[in-house]
Amino acid sequence: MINLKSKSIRRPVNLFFIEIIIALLFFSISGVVILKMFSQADSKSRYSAELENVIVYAQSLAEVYSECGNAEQAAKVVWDELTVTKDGNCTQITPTGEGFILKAYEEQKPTDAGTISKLHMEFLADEEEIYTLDCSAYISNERGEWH
Amino acid sequence: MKKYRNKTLSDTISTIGSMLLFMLFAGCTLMIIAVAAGAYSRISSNFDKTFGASAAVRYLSNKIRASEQAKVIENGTGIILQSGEMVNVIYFSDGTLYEKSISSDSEPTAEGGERIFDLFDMGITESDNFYTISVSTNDEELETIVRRG
Repeated sequence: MINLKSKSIRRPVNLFFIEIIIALLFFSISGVVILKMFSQADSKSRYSAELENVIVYAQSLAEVYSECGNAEQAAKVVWDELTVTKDGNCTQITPTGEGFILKAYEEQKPTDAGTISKLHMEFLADEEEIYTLDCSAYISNERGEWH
Repeated sequence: MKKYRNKTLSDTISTIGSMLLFMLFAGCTLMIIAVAAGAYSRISSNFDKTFGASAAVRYLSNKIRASEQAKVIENGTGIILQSGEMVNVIYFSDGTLYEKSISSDSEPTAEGGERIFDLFDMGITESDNFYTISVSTNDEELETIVRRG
């Protein structure tokens, strides 16, 4: 006689296997979170280094601009090698060997005694604005050619 | 007897399993600590690289801007800054930037100052319109321009 009644075979639950899977899952999640945090900290540190560098350049540029009143001339004093392209009132300056570009917007107002110049600087890295600075210069008509 | 043998086997498996789990835990912990130490040292060296030179450059440029009169020491290793009755002498010597304050009656000399920063090199040059301050640490070189007067 054949017993057609199905017998349910109870397998013992492999607790050790489950424990290992839980441990691995926990460590992979923790690892991903921690590595993400480290990579963010690293990129922030790189960004702050670049920003610091840019700020020093921007201040030097503002100092020179206040004396000469011309963005291109000021940039040539600050950087030895650079590429300059002009588009309307925007001068794009790309210093060689630096990881950023500078967009300089100049506005000049001639008066009877001299010229008031305003400069808006935008520093961009990877097409993202990282720092801006405004400065101005007053160049008297009595002053000769700046060099 | 059979029952006893089975129990021993399950105990052994359990012990090995626990040991394996502990080893896995220890391995993962060590790996995360190694990654953390690497990231920390990278961030720390980046920080020193950036802010070591820039702090010195900013300090010097702010001092020059704040002074009424400035005179570069002959070989460009320092600057004499006068503000009212006070004279500040900031100079570089033996890998260190020093500063001392004296009254305007005294003779300004580049010695006996207080230590401010440890640097690799420092130089100040004077042109018609500007002072150019260049500072270098072991990792970085930074230059800034300050308007005269």
